[in-house]
Parts: sequence; C-alpha cells; structure tokens
Amino acid sequence: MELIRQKISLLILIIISGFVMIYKLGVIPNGLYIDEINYGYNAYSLLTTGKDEYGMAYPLLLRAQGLYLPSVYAYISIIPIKILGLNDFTVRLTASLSGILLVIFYYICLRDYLKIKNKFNLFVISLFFCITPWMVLMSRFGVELMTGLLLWSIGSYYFWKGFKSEKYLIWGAIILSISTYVSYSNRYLVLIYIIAAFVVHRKIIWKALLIFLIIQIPNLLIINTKGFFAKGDLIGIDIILDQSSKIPNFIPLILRVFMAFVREIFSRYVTYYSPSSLFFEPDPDLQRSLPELSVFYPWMIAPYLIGLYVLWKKRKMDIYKYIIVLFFISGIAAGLTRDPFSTHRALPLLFPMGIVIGMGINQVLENLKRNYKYAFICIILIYSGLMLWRSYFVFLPKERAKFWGGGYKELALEIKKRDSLFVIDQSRVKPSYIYLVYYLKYQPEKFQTEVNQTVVHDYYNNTEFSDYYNFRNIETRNIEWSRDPCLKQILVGDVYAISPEQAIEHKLDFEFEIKDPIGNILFRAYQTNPELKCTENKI
Amino acid sequence: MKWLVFNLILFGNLWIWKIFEISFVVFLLCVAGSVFLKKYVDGNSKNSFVFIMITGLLVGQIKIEGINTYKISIEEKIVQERRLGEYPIKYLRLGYWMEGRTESVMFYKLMDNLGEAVDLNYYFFTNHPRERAAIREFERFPYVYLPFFIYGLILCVDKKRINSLAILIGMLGILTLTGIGKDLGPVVIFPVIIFFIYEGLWSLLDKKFHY
Repeated sequence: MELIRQKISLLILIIISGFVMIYKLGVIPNGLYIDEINYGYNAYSLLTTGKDEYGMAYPLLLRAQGLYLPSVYAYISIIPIKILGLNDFTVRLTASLSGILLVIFYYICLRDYLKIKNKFNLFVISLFFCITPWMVLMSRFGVELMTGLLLWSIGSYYFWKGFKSEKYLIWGAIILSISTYVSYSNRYLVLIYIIAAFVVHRKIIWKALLIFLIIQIPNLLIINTKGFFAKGDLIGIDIILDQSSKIPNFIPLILRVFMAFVREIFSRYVTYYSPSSLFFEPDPDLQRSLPELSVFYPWMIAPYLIGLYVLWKKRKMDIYKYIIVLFFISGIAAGLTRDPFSTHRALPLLFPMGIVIGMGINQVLENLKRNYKYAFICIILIYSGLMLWRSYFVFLPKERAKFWGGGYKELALEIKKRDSLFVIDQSRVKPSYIYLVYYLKYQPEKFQTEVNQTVVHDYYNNTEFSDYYNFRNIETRNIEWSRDPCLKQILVGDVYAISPEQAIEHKLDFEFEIKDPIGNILFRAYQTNPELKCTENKI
Repeated sequence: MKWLVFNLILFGNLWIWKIFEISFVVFLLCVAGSVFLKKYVDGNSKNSFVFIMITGLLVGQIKIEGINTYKISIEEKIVQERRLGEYPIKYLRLGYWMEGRTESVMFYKLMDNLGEAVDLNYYFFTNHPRERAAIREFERFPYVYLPFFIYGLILCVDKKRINSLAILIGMLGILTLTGIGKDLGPVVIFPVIIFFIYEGLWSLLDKKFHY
C-alpha cells in the first residue's frame, strides 16, 4: 500500500513537472536565444550531414561564434529533431526532459539518502523544487546547462556513495567524467569535487580515478588548443587590476594585486550565497532572469536559513558532508566570473541549495500541527504558483522578447517573401546569420560550402570570429553608407541603425518594421533607390 | 580584553565614522545602542535601554533618509499600467489584484526593501558586485568580519539566545518597512551586526587563548 502511494505521488510529480517544463515550450520564452539557436542548427547540421555548420565532422566542441560550446547537448538533441523536425520546441525538449529527470532524482535523493520519512512532506518538498523559478527558467532554456546539472548531481551523488560501495563509485566516475563534455563549468567543478571527496574520506580510489581519466582522453587531446579555454576571459583581470589601484601605494604591487584578487573573488563568491541574490534580486542580465522574481521565491529564505543550521548541526555525518561539499564547491565556477550574478554559471548550485531548502521545509512541516500544515502548504503553493505565472507566463514573453532573439522569426518570414538582396546590420545585434539559417531552415550542406573554409583546418584554434556572412540573398555586416544606398537591396537594422533623417538623406523607402509584443521596434527595413540617390550624386 | 575586542569592532569599521560625519547624535546612539545591546543579551542591562536606543536610531534614520516605500513614483506608475495591459483579458481581474491595487504594489516594495536589508555584500563588500547607480558606496564593515558575523549568528542559535535573534528579526522587519536609505544606511541594524561579529570573534579567541 505504501509502495503504491509512493508510486502515485511520484507519478503526480512527473505529471506536474512535465506540465510546468513543457507547456507552451516552443512559445515561451518568445524566441530562441543565440545559444539555443547554435545548438539547434548545429544539431540539425549533424543530423543531416554528420558535420557542424563549418563542415567539421563530429566535433567535440561546437565552434559557433568562437564560443566552443560543449557539443553533447547538440548530439542528444538530434533525437527529438529527427522525430519531430527542427523547431523551437524540439531545440528545448532535451533541457525540459533533463529538468523532469532532475526532479525525480531530487525526490529519490531526499527519500533514500536524507531519509525523509514522511512521504507527504517528501512530495510537497519535491513539488516546491519543481516549481522553483530557477528550475523552470533553465529547464525551458534549450542549452546544455540543465543536462549538465543533471549529470553533475547524479554523478556527484554516486561518486560519494561509492566510498562505501564500489559499484556506485564506478558509475559516479563515469557520469562525472561525461558531465565535463556536457557543460563548461563542470570541467572545473568535477575536478575540485573529486579532490574534495578524496580529502574528506582521506583516501584515493585509483580505480575510479583511472576510469575518470580514460573518459577524459578526448578532452586531453584538445586541452592545449585555444578553443578549450574559450571562456577564460570571464574572470575579469581588468577589474582586479582596477581594484588594486585603490589600495595605498606603499604596499608592493604584487601584494596589492593579491589583496584585490582575494577581495574580488570573495565578494563574487559570497553573492551567490547571499539571501538578497537568491530570494529577492533577479540576475541583472535581462535574458537570464525572470521579471520581478529571483532564482528562488522570497519565502524560501526562512527554510534556507533553517536548512543551513540543520546542516551545521549534522555536519559530522557522512550524508551531510556530501551536501556541504557540494554546496560550497558548486558556487566556485560562478564566483570566478565577472558577472554580478550569473543564473547560468551558478546553476550547479541549484541542486545542493534545493536540498538545503528542502531540509528547512521538512523541519518546518514536521513541527507544524496538521491543520496548520495543510493551510501553510496551500497558501505557499498558491502564492508561489501565482508569482511564477505572473513572471514567467505573463511578463517574460512580452517584456523580454527582444532579449530572447525576438524578431528574427518574423524577419526570416519577410525575407522569404522577397527576392531582394538583404543587408542585415551587425553594429549592435548578436550575429544574425545563425538566426536566419535556423529560421529559414537553410540546408546545412549548402551553408557549409559558403562559410570560411579555413576554419575547419585548425578548428580548435581558429577562435577569431567575423560576423560577415554571405549566403542565400543575405549579407550580414555593418551598413556602409558610402556604398550601400547605391546598390539595389533592402537594408535592415535596429532602431538606431537607420535614422529617419538618414532614410530621407539616402532616398530610402520604408519597407517593413518588426516590433516586440510591447511595441519596441526590433528591426526596421528600408529599400534603397540607387536610381534616385546615385543619379543625384552624379549630377 | 572583551571590551577591547568589542571596541575594536565597534570603532574599527568605516560605517561608524561615516555616521559620525553625517550626524553626531546618531553616532552616539549607535555606540550606546551597541553597548547596551551587548549588556542586555548578556543579562546585565534592562531591555528598556536597548529599545530607547533603537527607537532613537530609527527616528534618526527616518529623519535623515526618509521613507520612500509608500510613494509610487511616476516611472513606477507607468510600469504598473503597462503591466496591467500584459495580462490576458480573461485574467484581467486577477491582474488588477496583482498589479493595480496599492496593497500589491506596497507588498512588492516591502519585498524589495527586505532584499536590500539582507544583502551580505551591501554590508561587507561595498555592495559589490551590485553597486547602485548614482550612490557612493563604501565598505561598511571589513569583509574579514563576515565569517565572524556568520559564526556569531550560529552561536546565538546554538545557545538559544532568543533575545538577540528576536532583535535581529525585528530590525529586519523595521528595515522592510522603512528601506535602507542611501547615505546613512540602515543604522537601526548597526548595533545588531556589531553584536554578532563580536560574539563570533570573541568565541574563537576565547577558545584559542582561554581568556
């Protein structure tokens, strides 16, 4: 009977997670972000040709725009794209399914590892985890992050358990090693975690280390390439040097830089654990956050603090040592970057923080009388549901559309309607070419012949990226006012690219305009009139 | 030795001197408030002294910083109206309750105030890396005090020092209602932070050197 009840509650959890993660997945957020497009189009390219957009066969990293993204997400995405075709839904589906699996794993971890006995509490805690803003935002974001988090969580859990039972250790080592191919930050976190696990247990298990290293061979083969450390400039050395200049000059320079470095890293690291960042203030980057909602709900500050205290009290128990190690290590990768709070890079924190908050919620529920408990759960659930609905399903699709690549789908439709040549201005926008090849479903085998052919020859070192592309009837580059008005074409740019005065001066005819849901102009297009403009010049 | 350590913490931070620069009266209230709070938690002082100091600090803070929580600016009004229009028509009534009512707007502002009041980086890292625009931030407490502050908090929970925790929660509640201000900052919480830093540091020193 108990087993049936557990299975039913798990099933209900899966259904609710499925709904939250998949409902209107192709539509909300409104548009695909460039990283999603990179994965989507490259997955499509790998599916149809076995090569990425540049013609590189089965790359370990996707060069994209010099980003060198871990490629595993693209390979996994081939499956939904093959079955359901290339569209916004299938690009995001792998992340959603990873989110659902993570909720299930979270449930199992709380039940089997932390031994939360009250099954109703377990269900409620897992439900709150499933509707956490961070969880919903990242599960509906078609990039490698949620899949990386899933493997990081499962791998770290089994690896830790493996110190008592070898069968878990092998699986833990395998999953952790694979996770480094899925997410960039996992490369660093996994190493730090393994070292910490060995230190805490005061032993090194060579078999696990060997298996881990064998799976790392492909990474080791490209470790000395520029592409492997493509994101190395995120630390912000310039900020540290600037901070060091504020320290009195009588202190030697090397010491000043060291002091500034320590303070800078410490401040960034602390911000990922500060209640303000976690429960109240969203990520300042508007693409990576929800309007008016941080990564956790404001009410979760109480169980967070309670959970931390429980962790402190039980810190000598092995189970809790795992959570403590995971909790403090997961913030390192994000703490090393220059962002005030990066929802993406701090994602490894979601699992241990979810466990800490879950422990706090459990503590509260265990001490509440039955009637108060149900009332408390209902009120909190309704409040959280309303806040999530308000921020994610009402505000986000409208207010943040332009940050989610809004406008490109409509632009592709306009391009399809016309045979004219198009020049897409690149002054202030992210590289447009990848959006257009995706929405136009441009044939990868054709596109591979039109890109810079030298890229493939030294693929992992060719980090220089030019946003000039010429394919189909499209050129992506900055508008050249000395030349472009004299060619018959349509110039497209954002609201600052072509001012009304320039349109009059260069005899341009307004062609179309694309706006976001709240009326901001995303693109404006003008037809040139060389016969008017250049004839006048000749006279 | 205890009082030496306490005074080092009390006067060894930029915030108290910034307060001294702005208002001598508030400076005296901060110093007295910190001393009486420590004595009160140790059981050597009446709680009335503490509450008089805290009330004085609150009055000082409100006088100098003012309270912005209960005013809706023109920009906020524009955002409010735009957001009302973002709700689907069938949920417009719900949207009105969530965006249009003054109580809802106040609730969100109170949440914002609470978020600012519990920001560790605000107190220990010059609000870095989320510095506020057009405000000259400064490091209220040296960041090396942060571990002692956290340890002090844990100790008070361990030792079930309900009075100190109740005062902390009370001060956060007050700051939720008033906001943290710009120049002076949330001085009403100053004695509480000093107390917890002292508790954390003194406990470690005592363990190590057995004073």
